[in-house]
Amino acid sequence: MLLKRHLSFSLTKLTIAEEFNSICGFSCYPRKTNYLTGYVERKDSLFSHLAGIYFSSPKTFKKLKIKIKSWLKEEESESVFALAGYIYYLSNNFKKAKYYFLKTISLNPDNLDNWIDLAFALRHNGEYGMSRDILFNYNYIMYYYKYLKLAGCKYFKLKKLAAEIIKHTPNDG
Amino acid sequence: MFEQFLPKKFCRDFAEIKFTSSQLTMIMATIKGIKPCMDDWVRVDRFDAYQKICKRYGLFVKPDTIFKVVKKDDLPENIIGKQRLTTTTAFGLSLDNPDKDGAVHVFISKTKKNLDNAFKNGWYPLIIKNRVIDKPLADAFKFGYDLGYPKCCVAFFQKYNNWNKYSNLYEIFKNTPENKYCYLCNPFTKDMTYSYIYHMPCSYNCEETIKLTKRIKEAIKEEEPEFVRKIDEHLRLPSLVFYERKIYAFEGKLQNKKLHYKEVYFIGQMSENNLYEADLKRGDCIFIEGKDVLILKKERLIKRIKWQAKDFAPEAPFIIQFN
Repeated sequence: MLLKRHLSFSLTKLTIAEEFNSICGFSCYPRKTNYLTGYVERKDSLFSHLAGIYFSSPKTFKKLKIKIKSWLKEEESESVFALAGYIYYLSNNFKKAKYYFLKTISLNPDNLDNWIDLAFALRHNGEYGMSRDILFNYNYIMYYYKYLKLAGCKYFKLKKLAAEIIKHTPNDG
Repeated sequence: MFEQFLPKKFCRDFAEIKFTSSQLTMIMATIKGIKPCMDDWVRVDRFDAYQKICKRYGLFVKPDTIFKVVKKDDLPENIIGKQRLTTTTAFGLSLDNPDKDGAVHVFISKTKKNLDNAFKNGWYPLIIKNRVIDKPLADAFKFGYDLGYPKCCVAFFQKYNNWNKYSNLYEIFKNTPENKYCYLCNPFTKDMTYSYIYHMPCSYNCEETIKLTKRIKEAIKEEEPEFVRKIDEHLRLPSLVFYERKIYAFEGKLQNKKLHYKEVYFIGQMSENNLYEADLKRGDCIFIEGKDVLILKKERLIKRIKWQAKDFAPEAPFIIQFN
C-alpha cells in the first residue's frame, strides 16, 4: 500500500521532460531558438531523433502518441507544441501538425526551425503555395510577422502576409 | 565505355530533350509501371517539351523547384550548412522565378496518387538565401518507399546513410558474403546511364533488389535490347570505391585480390573528387593493403594512396568485381 502510494507520488512528480526521457532515453528540453543571425542550419534535432524512433521502435512511438495528449493539457510551451507537431507529423496527421507548429510560431516567431517545420507540414497538407512562400521567403516572413505583431493571429492573416511579401519582394529565391 | 546512350526508339525523345541519357533506365521503368515514381531534372527552357513527352508516354508530371547547380568549392563561405551537402550542391529558386538558367526538379509517375506521395516527401536540400533548407529526416526515409525501393534497402539506408560516420557503400560491402556480388545490385554507375537501380541496396546480392532489377531489365530488353547488353557490360566492370562520390571503374579483372586493368574511368560524378585518375592511368594493377590503395606498373609500386581520416564522408576503400 505504502509502496503503491509512493510510486504514484513519484509518478506525479515526474516532469514532462523526465517522462519523455524515461520513454525515449534522451532529452527533449530545452528547445533552443534557431535565430536567423545564428550560424546553424537547424538547432533542434528532436524531429530527427523522433523519426529514428518512429521507424526503429514503433512501440515507443505509440507510447509518445498517447502521452502527448496529457502533456498538452499540462503545459502550453513551445517545446511541448513542437513535440506534438512532430508526433502528429510522423503519424501522418499533418493538419494537427500544422496546428501545433503554428502555436510554436506564435510563442516564438524568432525560431526558424518552427517556420521550416510549418512549411513542410503545409507541403504534406497540399498547401504547396504557402509552403513554398515560407521556404523561399522565410527571412521576410519572420520579420514582418513580428513587425505586424501577428502572434496568435488567424491563419488567413499569415497567408495574406505571405502573399503581400511575394508581391513586393525581389524574386531572388 | 560510359558514353551517352541514345535509344533507337523507346524514350529516345527523353535523352534528346535532356541532352543526356542519365536516368534513362529509371524513366523506362516508370513508364513500364515498375517504378511507382521518380524525380528528374530538366533545363528550364526544355521543361514544356519534357512535359509533352511525358504526356505521350502516359506520365503525370509535377514540378517542384528550380535548381541552380554550383560546385561546392565555388560556394560563398557564409552559406550555413554547406558542409552537409553531399551529392548535389544547388541554389533553390521558386518555380515562378524568371531566371531561365537552371533545372526544374520534377516528379513523374503513371498515377496521380504515387506522384503526389513522392512529391510531398521529395524536397531536395537546397540553398535558399544564405542557408541550406532541408526536409525532415522522416520525409527522406519515406521517400525511398515512394520511389519503389525495397523495404530492406530503405531500412539499411536509414541506418548507414550517415555521412558523418559511415561510408554507406562499404557498409553494404561488409553486409555481403564474399564473392557473392551480383551485377544487378551494382549501384556505382547509377549516375552514368548504365544502371538498373537508383537506390543503395542493403547488400550487393540483395534478393529484393535482384527481383526488381530483373523486372526492369526484362522490360527494357523488350524495347531496347542493345541498351540492356551495354548496361550489363558496364555493371560487370570491377570498381575501386573510396566512398559514394569517389569511385573508379576499370576494364580489367580481379584475381587474388589484385585488380589487373587496361583502362580506368572516374564515375564519382563530382570532378573535384577525381584525384587519382592520372595515377591510375599510369598503372596496370591495384590492390588494397590495410586501408591504403597501392598502384603498380609491371609489378613495381608507383604510388601508394594513403588512407586519411575524415570527419565527413569517411573513406573505406575496397575493390569489387560483380558476377
